[in-house]
Amino acid sequence: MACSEQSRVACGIGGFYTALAIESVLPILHSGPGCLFNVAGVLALANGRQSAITYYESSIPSTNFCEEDVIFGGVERLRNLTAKALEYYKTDLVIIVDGCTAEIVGDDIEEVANDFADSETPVIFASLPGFKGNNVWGHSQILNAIVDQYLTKPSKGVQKGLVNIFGVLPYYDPFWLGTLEQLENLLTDIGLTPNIIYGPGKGIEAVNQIPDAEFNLLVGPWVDLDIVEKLKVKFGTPYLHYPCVPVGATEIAAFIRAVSEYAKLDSEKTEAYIKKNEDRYYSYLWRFNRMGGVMFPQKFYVNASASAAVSFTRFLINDVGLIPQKIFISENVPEEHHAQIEKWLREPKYDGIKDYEIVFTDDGGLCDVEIKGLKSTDLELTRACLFGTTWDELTAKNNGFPFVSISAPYGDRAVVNKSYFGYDGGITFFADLYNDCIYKFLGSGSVANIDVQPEAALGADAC
Amino acid sequence: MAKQIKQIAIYGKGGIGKSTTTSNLSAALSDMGYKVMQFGCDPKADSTNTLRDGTYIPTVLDLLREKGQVKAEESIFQGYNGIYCVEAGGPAPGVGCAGRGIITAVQLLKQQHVFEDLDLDYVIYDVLGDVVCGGFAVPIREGIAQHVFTVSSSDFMAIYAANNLFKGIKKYSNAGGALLGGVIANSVTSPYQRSIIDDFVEKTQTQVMEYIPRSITVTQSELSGKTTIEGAPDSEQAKVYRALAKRIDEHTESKTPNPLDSQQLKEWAAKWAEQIIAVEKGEITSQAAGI
Repeated sequence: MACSEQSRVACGIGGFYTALAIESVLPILHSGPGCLFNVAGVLALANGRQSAITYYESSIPSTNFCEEDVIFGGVERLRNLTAKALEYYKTDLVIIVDGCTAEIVGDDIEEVANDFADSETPVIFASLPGFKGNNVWGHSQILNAIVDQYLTKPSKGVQKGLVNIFGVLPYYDPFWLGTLEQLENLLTDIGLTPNIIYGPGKGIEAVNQIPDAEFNLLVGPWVDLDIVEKLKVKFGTPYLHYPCVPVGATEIAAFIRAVSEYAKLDSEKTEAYIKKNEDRYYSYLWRFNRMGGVMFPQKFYVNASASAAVSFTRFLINDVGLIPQKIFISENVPEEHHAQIEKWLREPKYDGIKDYEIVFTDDGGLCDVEIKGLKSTDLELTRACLFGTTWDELTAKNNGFPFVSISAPYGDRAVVNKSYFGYDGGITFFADLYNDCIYKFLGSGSVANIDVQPEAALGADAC
Repeated sequence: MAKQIKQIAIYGKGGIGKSTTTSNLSAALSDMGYKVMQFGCDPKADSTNTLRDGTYIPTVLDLLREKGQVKAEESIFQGYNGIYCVEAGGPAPGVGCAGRGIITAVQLLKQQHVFEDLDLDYVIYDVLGDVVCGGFAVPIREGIAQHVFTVSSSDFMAIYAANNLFKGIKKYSNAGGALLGGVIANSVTSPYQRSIIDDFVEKTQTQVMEYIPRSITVTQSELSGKTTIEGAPDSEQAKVYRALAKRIDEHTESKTPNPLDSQQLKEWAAKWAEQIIAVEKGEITSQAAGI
């Protein structure tokens, strides 16, 4: 692993946010004091001002592993904490997770979890030491723990049309809630019964249904591929792997057709759905196009997670018509997935734009180094756009590049239910990009400028 | 001006006789009129047993576990001839980190200026076997001890541990760490055992401080919970320990050793193995001839 700057990930223990994303699932942390809020900074607070769903961060039990625990081992305190948590918290599932120090001194969290095998509330465990991986790896550990240790019974029988959704990484993907809501609506509209485990109103009932799905739908290039493969072996559930969260009309239509064909849905209804939504989509864009104003620069850079990079690069080429310069994928994606991700990045519908570089790294600062100084005396139209994280927002600002935040850390603006998913998402993205072009090229809020300089404005009028 | 406390660390493979040697060294130095503290840095916490009639003392980490905070004086107990005895102790087997325990215990006493307050002449650390992790390098690493002596027999595994220790000393030698005083050759009864150790110290550019023969007197004394110095003060073995104490007392300048690398050590051991086989064969032949 190279030396990194501008980290776009949290450490492995950040996986506990996946537990928090499932309603009434309680993580118990066996880690140092501070681990939780370090992760919260990257995945929640500075990532669109998110916070946990059922249990607010400051109420999550932690052993606050200190020197005494390093020397003597901390499993006894963990055992006591778990017993008390089961007594005081209303929860459907407890997941004990540990961090670096507990793992280094060899604390056995499995033994502690096993001590509660007879508990009414199931207690499982996942080892999440940061020295083994980042929060994306930690997320996988949590889901693997749930599948291995919690989903122990065979399927009660396949429910026709029931589809589990995987690939959207809660919290780390700042738009996860909005995306999942809209994906749920879409799949319901085309005649399926989506089963999503994350977000309000889902929780353990959704988890319990996982083995009964007709198929698993993976939307994303690589995250959760291990899970759908495991579910295929364990419950015989087949899966459809779609390479990205679809953004914009071109991708969402391809997505709907792929799902519809895989699930053997009525193709006429599917096409009618696409037609109706495309008409709406393009009517908005037509309106938007007639507004005039500034034009988008034609080149773009991406510095984001693989998931966001694939989604937005394809959208920007297909729907916005921009030309990719270099795509930085900065969450240290395992090498075995690189070739497939590259393939998906280079196969947009309107091709001819394949000759650009794709960089897999864990060094988020590489992009900054690459594009620093590109501004020079270029005209606005020959500048580039940059799409990435709040780190890249600074680079974009310094270069005068239009920017839209698409990946963690999103920044400290509230993301709430925002998403760039599908038809509406594409329209929203056009608006966001346009607004930043206005800001970067003309200066933000000329009206606001007049407001703060009333005397100067009056003076000008007087002349 | 405050007097200089001579701080010594004794290392060596587990079971090689470190605690026996250290306790006898402490007892002999104490008999010479010095104020001595023996600091056991081994989770087994039995370094100072023979200075206290075979009894165990509460360890620093026992006290820390019970109370959360420890005053240094609570962990100090007096033994033979007023020798101050401290045991670092450690976690239960199979849990926690003993290395961190040693660091904590040593720092606790260091921070509370116990050595100065007790007006000590000698602090002798008896450290567990091999330098397996950073915690066990603390007496070397932080320059807490000025001189390190390693107890070794002619057994290959003991020499392997000694060589590892030399590597540790060399690593920290440029950063104010302790330097090597020499090797205390233990359980040396035959000439070829002596030759092996002599050859090893020559190759690694150090010295033998004393050759200590295997002796039943040591075992007898230990069974009655005493050092040889206390239990059999007039024995030949006690004289050897006194000679060692005198040599260490006179020792002033330690050096950076020159440890063998893995390949060198392997080749060195192979060479000696051939010679030992030849010696053994010779013995068998002569015994057979005597029948």
